[in-house]
Amino acid sequence: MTGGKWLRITTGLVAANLLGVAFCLAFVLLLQLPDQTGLPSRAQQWFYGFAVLAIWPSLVLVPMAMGIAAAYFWRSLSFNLWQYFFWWIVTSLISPFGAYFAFKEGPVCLLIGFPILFVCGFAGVLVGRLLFKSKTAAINLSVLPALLIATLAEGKMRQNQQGVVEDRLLINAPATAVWNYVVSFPAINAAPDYWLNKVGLPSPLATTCQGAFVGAARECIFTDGLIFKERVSEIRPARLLTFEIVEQPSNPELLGHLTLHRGQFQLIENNDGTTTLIGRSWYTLHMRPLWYFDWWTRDVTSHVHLRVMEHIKTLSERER
Amino acid sequence: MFKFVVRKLRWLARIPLLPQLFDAGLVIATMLFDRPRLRAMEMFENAVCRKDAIQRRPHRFGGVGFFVGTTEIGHLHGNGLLDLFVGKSFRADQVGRGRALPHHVFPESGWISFWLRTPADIAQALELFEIASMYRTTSQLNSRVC
Repeated sequence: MTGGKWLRITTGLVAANLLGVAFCLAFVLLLQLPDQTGLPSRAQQWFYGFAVLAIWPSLVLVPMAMGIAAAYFWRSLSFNLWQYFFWWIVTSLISPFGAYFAFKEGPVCLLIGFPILFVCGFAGVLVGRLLFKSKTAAINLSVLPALLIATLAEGKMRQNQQGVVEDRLLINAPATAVWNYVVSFPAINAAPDYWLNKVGLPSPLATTCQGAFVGAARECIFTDGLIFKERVSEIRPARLLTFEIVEQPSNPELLGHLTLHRGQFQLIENNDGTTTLIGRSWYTLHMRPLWYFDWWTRDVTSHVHLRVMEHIKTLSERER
Repeated sequence: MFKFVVRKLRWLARIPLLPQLFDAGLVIATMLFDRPRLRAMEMFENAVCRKDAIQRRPHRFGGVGFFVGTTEIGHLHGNGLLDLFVGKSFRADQVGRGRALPHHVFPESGWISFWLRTPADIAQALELFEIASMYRTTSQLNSRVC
């Protein structure tokens, strides 16, 4: 490969990532600007509202813009699809590694986000390779501002997603026996079987509680020493336990991505010596695109529920 | 999967860039699981682009669109499905002779579909492309004369 070719490849690779970084920095600066310029409070409110609504990165459109930027610099190279594919893998791997080392982003979040960065970016590369190789390449550069407008419009439509995850488990024990392990339970010794736990996502370990009364402090302890501080808000012995999450651990996998509000265990006596245990979690998701990250949030939360509920089941059924 | 999306979720194609995203997924799947098909797609695309009048552009339904000026001759999806406009009479002839399939979404229209599976399919695909190209350019000329 000639020096000129390497230079074009590297330029495309750097330009795509710089574009991604530029988008992210622009969002950070816009979010900080109202505080630093001393704007009147109403203007500050408007500005902040606009920044939050319109400027948050879209994980679909920003990677596409990155892909188009890379394709622009690679336009004169006679790449086949495999070469585009290979160089886009290299290009898109730089972003997660950079985010991990420079911004201390959580590796599990990056792992979850990478497929969307890769696929959307590759779509951008495929669009770009056609745009810039056609006979109207210069005119086609107008796609970049159009993409920026689309990003802003997509951001404007976003609302924080609030949701609840519910899981059910049948336990061969009466509700009174199950209840003993609902308020708090001893450590879970079984190794987690969820693949994300195996690659570093913390899993629930034990729960402690001051007592079975409203206002009691509760702690849900995860591996890696993470602790969710909770407060019991509703209690009906052998039937219902609701707790508010008062403090989330400052873990990079959660910070700015997900806010957990409350959790609940409901016990339904089935009148045949068995109990249906229902676990619920209420959350707000701050990540975009919603359809993608909400699926992951539900999957992860459901695995947390089931790990705890399976443990409660084992302990309750052992008592019989 | 492709059939389900294009038939049942066609309305999603109105969302800007979503068809391109879907097509990128098809290209990735073809790259990973069906290399002969990918080779055929690339060879076909290169052969078509050697013709002076033909331009490649991103297609509104995803994939590569082939145009003469603003007139579309056809488009190639990321899974090797080639759609060409040959008009109703040519469609009946080509489909009747088993050289092409009715269009995968609009079987009664003047469009035909053809699967590029291996490089051996290229010759036939190029013949169909030639028919489509002639049909479009001739219709354009006729409309100008009239």
